[in-house]
Amino acid sequence: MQNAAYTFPKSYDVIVIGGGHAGIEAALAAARLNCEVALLTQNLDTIGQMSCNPAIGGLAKGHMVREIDALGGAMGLNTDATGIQFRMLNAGKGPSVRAPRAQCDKKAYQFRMKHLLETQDGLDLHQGNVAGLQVSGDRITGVSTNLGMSFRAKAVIISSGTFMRGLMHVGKQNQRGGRMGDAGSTLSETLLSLGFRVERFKTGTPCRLNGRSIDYSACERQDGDESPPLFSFMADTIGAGDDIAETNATFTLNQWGNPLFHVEQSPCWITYTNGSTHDLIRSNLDQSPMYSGMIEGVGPRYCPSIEDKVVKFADRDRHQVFLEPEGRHTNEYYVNGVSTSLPYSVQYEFIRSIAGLEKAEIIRPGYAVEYDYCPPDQLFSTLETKTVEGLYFAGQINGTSGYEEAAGQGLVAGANAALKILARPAFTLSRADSYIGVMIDDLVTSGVTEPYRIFTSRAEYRLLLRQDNADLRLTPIAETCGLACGQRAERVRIKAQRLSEGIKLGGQLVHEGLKLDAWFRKPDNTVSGLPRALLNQFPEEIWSLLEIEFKYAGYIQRQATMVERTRRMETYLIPSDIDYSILSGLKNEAVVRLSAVRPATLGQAGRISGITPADIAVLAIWLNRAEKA
Amino acid sequence: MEDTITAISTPPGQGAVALLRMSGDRAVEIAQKLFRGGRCALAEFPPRQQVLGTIVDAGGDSIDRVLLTVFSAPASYTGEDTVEISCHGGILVAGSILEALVAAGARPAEPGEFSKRAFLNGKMDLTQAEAVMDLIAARTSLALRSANRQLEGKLGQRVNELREELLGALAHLEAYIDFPEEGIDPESSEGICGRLIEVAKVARDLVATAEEGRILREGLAVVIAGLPNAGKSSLLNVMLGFDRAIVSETAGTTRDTIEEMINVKGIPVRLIDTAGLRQTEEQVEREGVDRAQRELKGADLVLHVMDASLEKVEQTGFTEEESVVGRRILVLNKVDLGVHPSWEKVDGIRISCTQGSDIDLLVEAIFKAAGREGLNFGSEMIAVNARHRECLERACKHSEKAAELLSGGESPEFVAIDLREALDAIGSIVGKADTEELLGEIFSSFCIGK
Repeated sequence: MQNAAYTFPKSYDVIVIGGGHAGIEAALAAARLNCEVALLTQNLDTIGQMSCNPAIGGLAKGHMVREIDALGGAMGLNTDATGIQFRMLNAGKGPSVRAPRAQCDKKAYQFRMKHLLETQDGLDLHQGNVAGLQVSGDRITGVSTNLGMSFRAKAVIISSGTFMRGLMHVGKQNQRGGRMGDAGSTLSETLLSLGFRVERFKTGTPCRLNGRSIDYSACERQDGDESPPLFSFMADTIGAGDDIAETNATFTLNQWGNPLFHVEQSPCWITYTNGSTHDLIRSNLDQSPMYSGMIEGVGPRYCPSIEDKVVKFADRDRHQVFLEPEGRHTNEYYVNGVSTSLPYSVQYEFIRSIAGLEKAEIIRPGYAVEYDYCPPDQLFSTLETKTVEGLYFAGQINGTSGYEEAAGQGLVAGANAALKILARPAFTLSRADSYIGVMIDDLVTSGVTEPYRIFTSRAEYRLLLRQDNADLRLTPIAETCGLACGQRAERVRIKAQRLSEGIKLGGQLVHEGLKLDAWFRKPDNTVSGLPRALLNQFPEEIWSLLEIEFKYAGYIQRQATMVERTRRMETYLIPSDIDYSILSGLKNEAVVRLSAVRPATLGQAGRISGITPADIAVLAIWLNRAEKA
Repeated sequence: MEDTITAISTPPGQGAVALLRMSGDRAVEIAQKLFRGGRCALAEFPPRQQVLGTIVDAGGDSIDRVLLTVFSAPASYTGEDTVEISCHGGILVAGSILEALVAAGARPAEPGEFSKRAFLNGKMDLTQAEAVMDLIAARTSLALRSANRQLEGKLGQRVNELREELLGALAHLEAYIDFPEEGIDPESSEGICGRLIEVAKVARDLVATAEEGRILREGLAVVIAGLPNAGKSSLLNVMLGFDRAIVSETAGTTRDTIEEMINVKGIPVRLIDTAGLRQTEEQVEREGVDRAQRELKGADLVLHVMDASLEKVEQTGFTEEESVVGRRILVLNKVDLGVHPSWEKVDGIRISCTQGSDIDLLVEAIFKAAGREGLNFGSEMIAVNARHRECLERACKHSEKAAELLSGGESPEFVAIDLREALDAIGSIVGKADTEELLGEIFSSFCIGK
C-alpha cells in the first residue's frame, strides 16, 4: 500500500465503497446504529442507479424487499414512493408464493435515494474512486483513492457492483468500465494482493428505445393492479406529513391519502420475437463475443442473452419481450428479454424485426459486462471477510446479481460492521426466518457457480417465509439490535398481539357449528363469509393473516416441525480458529472443504457439499471434547 | 427433534435370542404402543431393568414374548432414550418386530447411525470415536458395495428413472411458481399427475420385490396343516426324503412345530409341520395348536392336508383371510386307501405319502404357487431390502399425495412439499437431489429470463 498524500481529517467508524443498492443499505444501517459513516462513490449522480431493468421485486426478490423494509431498510419505502406500476405476482396461487413487483421511475428512485442519504444523520458522502485498502496486520484501517487521498476507518464495506476490472462488450469491440458511460475500478488487484481469491462473472443488458418509435398497437398492454400492492409496512407514512425519520420529508411521486395510496400507473407492453429475429441472430453468432470465446466470465442461466435463448431453445418459435417504461418524465423504454452483446448493427436489425418495433430507435445499445467477484465462501455469515478483520463484502462482489439481493446483503454487512465496532452481538439471519438468511447461508456455505439469484425454491421453509409476515418475522429481531425502533417496532408489537388474540379466538369461537379455525379449513370459507360483528373485532390486515394461519395450519405446522428438527444442529457452534488438519479421522477432502468454508455451526458444516455424516461425527466429538477441556 | 431409529442389532441367522434397539425421543412411546405386560407404563418403569411382556403387531396380534429394557437419556449408548427388545432368535420374529416398530413410527436406522448419535451426544471420547469411525466406515463401504451391486443393475436403473421423473415434475412446478411471467404452462399439471401416479406404481412394484428378496434370503414359508391324523408329518417326511417327524396312527402325535429347509426347483422352502387343528383340553396339545395357528398367519403358502379316504368335512381352524388369498393348496392324502365319493368334484392334489405317489405333482404345485406370490426367478433378480422398501413406500405415498393435491387444484407450493419428500425418499436410495440440480433441471427445460 503506497502512502497517501493527504489524509481526510475525520476518522470514520465505517466506510462504504460504492453507492449502489448494497452500499446504500449498508451505509444507512450503520448510521442507524449511531456509527460515523462515510459512503464513497465514483459518481454521486449514479447513487441508487438501476443499471439493468427499472423494476424492483418479483418472486423471492419481492419477499426480500419486504424483509429489508421490516429490518428498517430504505428499498421498500423508496420503491413505493417512486413506483409507476405495481402488481402482485402469483395472485392466483397460495399466500407464500405471492410477491409484489414494481416498475420504478428510474431517475426519481435515484434522486430520492440520494436525498435520503444526504439527510441521514451520521452519514457523509464523498465522491472518489477507491484504489487501495489500508491494512495493518490483518485488520482494516482505511482506504485510499486514486487521487491520493486517504480515509481512516475501523471497518470497510466493499459493494463495488460490476466495477472491479469491468470490461464491456458490444460485438467484438470492448472497453473498460463497470457500466456504459462509467469508469472501472482496480480494487480487485488490492484484494488479490491481500490473498483473496478473485474470479470472473459476466452479465448483460438489452438496448433501450425511444418510446415515440414504438407501435403500441402491435403490442399487448399490461397494466398495474388497482389497488397497488406495496413493499413497505410503513407506506402510509410516505408524504403523509408525519415527520418520521424514515421518510424525512423528502419528495415523493406517490402518496398516501387516506384510505388509498395514490399512484399514477403506467402500462408495460408485451411483444414477441419471431423466426426472422432468430435467423438474424443465428447468422451473426460469429460476431458475438460470447460465442467467439472472447468472454471468459460465467453468466447467469436464468437471465440468458437472446443469443443463448435462440441457440439453447432452438425449437421455440418466439420469445416474450416486455417493453418497460423507465420513468414518468422520460420516453426511454427498457426492452426486457433481449439482453445481448451482438454488434450494434445486428441489434438494430433484429430489434426492427420484432412486431411493434419495426421503426424502433435504439438510444442505448445492449452490452455484456465482465467483472471480478470474490467467491463468497471467503466470508463469515456476518459478511465479514475471513482474511481481513473489519472488511466486509456486499452485493455483486459476492457473486450475486439483483438489486434486492444486493440490498439485503448491504443491510446485513452494514449492521454487522457497526455492531462489531460497538462490541455488540452480531446480527445474523437464518434459513428459517428469512430469504436474506437463505441467501447468505447459500453464499457462505456453498459458494456460487453463476451469478446468484434468490428463488423461492431455494427456501426449504417457503411456506413460513411469506411477504405478508416479514415484519412479524424480522422487525422484533431488528428492534433487538437497534435497526428498527419507534413507530415501526410499536406497530409490529400491536400486530403480533392482535394476531395471537385472533388465533386464541379461533380455537374457542364457534361459527356455523364449527370452531372458527376448523371453519376456515373448509376450502370455500374465507374472511368475506364472516358476519360483520365478528369482522369488526379485528382490522382487515389481521383477518387476512388469521385466514392464512387457520387455512394452512397443517402445512405451517409441518414446516415448523422441519425447522425444529434442524435447529439442534445449528446450536453446535464451531470455533472459527479450528485447525481441521489436526483432527484425525477426517478425510483429506473434508479437511480442504471445511478449511475453505470454516462453517460456524455443525448444521452449516452438514450443508457443505462433499461433507459426509461421518465427517460431522468426527467434528462433533472434537467439539464435545474441546468444550469439556 | 431427531427421528426415532430402530434396527436389529444381532447378526442375521439362527440363534437362541435376537436383540432389537430403538433410539430417539419417541422410543418409549413407540415401544409402549406395541408392548403388553409389566406392572406399569414403560415410561414409569425403572430404567435399565428388564420387563417381561409380549410384542403385538398393529392389529393387536402377538408376535413374540420378549424382555424389554428402557434406557433413559442420557444414560444410554446413544445418549437418547433407548429401548432394547430381546426376542426369540431367527430372522422372522425379529423381522416382524422391526416391521411393527417401523409401522408404529420408528425409522430403520442407517448403518452406523446409533454410533453416530452416540458421538453427537458426547457419549464417547476421541479415541473411542476413532475406533468406531473405522467400524462405521467399514460397515458403510460394505453396505455401499452390496448396495452398488444392486444399484448397477435393474433396481438402480428403475430407481434412477423414478428420480428423474420426480425431479422433472418438481422442476416444472417450481418454474411455474418462481417464473410467473414466463408463460410456463400450468395445464400440463394433468401430465404431471399422470407421471406421479406412474412413479407411485413403479415404486409399489419395486416394494413388491422386497417380499421376493425376503423369500430368497429366508425361504418360502410353507406350512403343512390340517386335521389330526391327516398325514401331515408323513408328508413332511416324504418330502424331506427321511423320517424327520414321528408318525403314528394316534391322532395328535405332533405337538410342536417342526421346520426343515428343502429345495423346490431352486426355491428355498421352509417346510413347517404343525399339530393337527382341533379343539382340545389337553394342555400340551393346545399349545401345539396355538403354535400351528401362529405359523399359519406367517405362512407364504399352506399345504392343507385332508384324509381322502374319509368323508369330506368342513375344515375349521383356517381363518377366512387365509382361504381368501388363495395361498392354499388342498392336498388329498391316503388315496391308496381309496377316495371317498364326497371328494370327487373337489380340486386338489391327490397323493399317497405311504406309497410316495404323485409327490412330484405337489412339488410342481408349490413351485407354481411361489410364482404366483410374485417370485420371478428370471435373469433380473431384483430384490430390494428393508431400507429400500421403506424409502420406496415413502416415495409412493408422497407421490400419490402430490398427485391427489394437484388434481384437486391445490396451489403448486403445497404440492411441492410432498413432491420434495418423495424425491428425498428416492434420494436416500440413489443420492440426494439438491437445489442446484433442481435449478439445473429448470433452466435446461424452460427458457427462463425476461
